[in-house]
This record gives sequence, C-alpha cells and structure tokens, in this order.
Amino acid sequence: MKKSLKIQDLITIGVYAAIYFLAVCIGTFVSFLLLPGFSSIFTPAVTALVSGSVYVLLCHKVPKFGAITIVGIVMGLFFLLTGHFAVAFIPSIIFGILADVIASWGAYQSKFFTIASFTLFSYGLTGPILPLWFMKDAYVANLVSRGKDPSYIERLFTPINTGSFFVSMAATLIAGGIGGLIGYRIYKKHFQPTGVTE
Amino acid sequence: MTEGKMQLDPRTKLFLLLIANFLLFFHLGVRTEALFVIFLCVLLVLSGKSRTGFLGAVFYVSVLYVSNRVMAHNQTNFWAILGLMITFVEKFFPCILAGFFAFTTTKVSEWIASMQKLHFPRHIIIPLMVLFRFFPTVRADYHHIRNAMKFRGIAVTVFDVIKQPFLTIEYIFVPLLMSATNTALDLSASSLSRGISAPTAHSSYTNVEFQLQDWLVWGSILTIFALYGGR
Repeated sequence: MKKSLKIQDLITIGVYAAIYFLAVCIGTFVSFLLLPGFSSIFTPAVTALVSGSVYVLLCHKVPKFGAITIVGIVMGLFFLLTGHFAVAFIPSIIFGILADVIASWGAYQSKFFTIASFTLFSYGLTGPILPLWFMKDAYVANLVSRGKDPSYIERLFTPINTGSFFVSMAATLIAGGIGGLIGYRIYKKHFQPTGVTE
Repeated sequence: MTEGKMQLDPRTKLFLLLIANFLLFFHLGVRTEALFVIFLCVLLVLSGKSRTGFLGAVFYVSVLYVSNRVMAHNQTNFWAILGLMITFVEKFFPCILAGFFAFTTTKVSEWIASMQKLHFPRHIIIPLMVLFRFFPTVRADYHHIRNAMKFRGIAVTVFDVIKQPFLTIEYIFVPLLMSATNTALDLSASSLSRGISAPTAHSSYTNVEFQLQDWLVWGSILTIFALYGGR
C-alpha cells in the first residue's frame, strides 16, 4: 500500500474536501440553530455526525498516506483565507496528521481504525472554539487597562470555560463515533455494491 | 479590467490577515487596533468596496464607543457577560474585515499564482485549487438536492430533519458523493490532458508582482507598529 499520491488523487482529494467543507457549513448552521452565540462549541460534533460518509469514501478512494493530512491542511488554509483566525489552522493540521497515521494502521480499510481516525479528524475543527479561552484574557486585559480588579471575572468564567471545554470534547468524541458508523453504513449500502471505489 | 481600482498583491493581503491575527493574540492596545481597522477600511474604499469600507469604519467606531460605556460599569454578572461579548466583537472585527478584504478582492487564479510564487508544494496547491473552484458547484448541487427533496415532501421542515436526521444525511450526501466521484474523474482527465502533470515550472496567465502600492501598505503597517506597537 506504499504508493505516492498521483495527480488524480490530488484532484479527488480536492473534490472531497469541497464536500467536507459543505458538511462543515451545514454543521455550523445546525449548531447555530441549536445554540446561538456559543455555536462553535458544537460545530465539530454536528459536523462529525454529518460528514462520516465523505470521510469513509475518501479513505477507500485514496488509500494512501497523505490524503487525510492534505484535507486537513487545505481546510486550514481555506479557513485562513476566508478570515478565520490563524490558530484554527493548527488543530486542523495536527489532527489531520494524527488521523492519517491511525487510518494507515488499518491500511485505510479497517472499519475500526477508520472510524477512530475520523473521530480524531473531527477534532481538527475545534480551532474556532479556542477563542473562548483567550477571549477571557483579552477581556481581563481590557478591564485591567481601565484600572479594574479582574479577580471577580476569573471566578465567574473559569467554570464556564472548563465546563464548555469538556462538553465540547465529549460531544465530539461521541458524535465522531456515531458519524463514522453512519458513514460506514451509507458506504456499505450505496458505494460498495456499485464499485465506485474500484 | 479593474480600472481606477487599486490592486494589491495577494501576498500583501495575506500579510494583512496575519497582522489581524497577530492583533487578536497580543493585546497591543486599542490605539494600534483602531489604526489598523481604519487603514483596512481605507484599503477597502480604494479597492472599490467603498460601501463595506464606510460601514466597517462606522461599525467599528460604534463598537468602541459601546465597549467604553459597558466597561465603565461595575462588572457584575450582567455587565460582565455583555462586556465579554462586546470585547469578542471588538477583537474579532479586524480579522473578519481583513478576511473579507482578502477574499472578495482576490480572484482564485491570483491566489494560485501567488502560492506558486511562494513555493507551496503542488500537493497543497492542486487540492486547494479544486476546492476553490468546485465548492460553488457543490453548493449549487446541494440546493438542487434540497429542492428535489422538498418537491417530494422529504425533510421539508426543520422538524422533519430532526425526526429523521440519518435519512436526511443519507439523502443529501449520497447523490453529492456520487456526482462528485464522476466530477473528480472528469476533472482529472481534462487537467491531465492540459498538462497539469508536466514536471517543468508552469507558466501562469495571471501575473502577480509587488508594486508601489504593496510597498506602501507594508511600509505603513510597519510604521504603525513601530510607533504604537509598545502600546
């Protein structure tokens, strides 16, 4: 299975990245309906729920190391160019590489490893949640510059922050598993019999 | 093509984006941020986006004003939440504005040409190019599918979607992926026959080069930072 990526593979990756991005848009929209204001907490989870089939199909279509990493990098770049902040970029790449490594253990065919790597890949979207943490610092700095005491704010926001962090992480984990299973079911039902992956 | 409008090199726009992100993480004070936002607004006006430029400036100034008023209150629960939200808007606005500027005033071919100049590997450029070009098609496909679903009375209301989420996912993504698979094949065939795999350096129809205005932008940004960077 040690093959390098060909031009066709690169184009296929781009096409699937576009569909994955649509899934991200749907995920953002749905989580905005669920929880306006702090929607970014659940964006990774909802997207994971929706996008499993895209990921599974990509794994079977381009079973080579690098494909998932490239999707991660390309998503990160796309975020950057459309005005998301640069740090959203970093988890996108790191989790892309990790997901690629795990999927390669199963040679991109094993159901277990693919779903595990999909879950991991979904964490790549947690980048936009990061502001919840450093925004508090910005707020505290804003207060300090006006000569106010920020200790009260620390007490107010620490539980909110750590709470939302764990909720988001757990939701992504569960949704990643479920989304992967759905993806597999769709793959088994529609794509394997028709031989699209040949 | 773009008479009377200023054209900046995409790399300059990327630089502006990075500066906006930098401001988000290092609190350099309101003065630097405000100068940067006003500078962006001027650039927007010069690039033919005068409406956004003016609206952006007005919006930012009013946010600053509200932020000042909110922060002046004692930070009890209500004012603290409000203060956090307004800080959020205030801090993110430069980023969003820079992103809007970069995205709406640059053509896809310009991004690609400048990425080639920056020596991005082909493994990144080709998928990104496909993503940029193909995403509008995917969006159109998505709307067609949704319309077809509505026509047949499937998942019309939000309630239906909640009742049958998995079926909805299946109905949306299976046709998308099916047609995408064909598109990928077609695209590969057409771009291969046009020589995308040629091992030599590719020439580009779009030319990106640093011009006087690019140097001016870099110069003024660096001047702002040199003067006010240390608060």
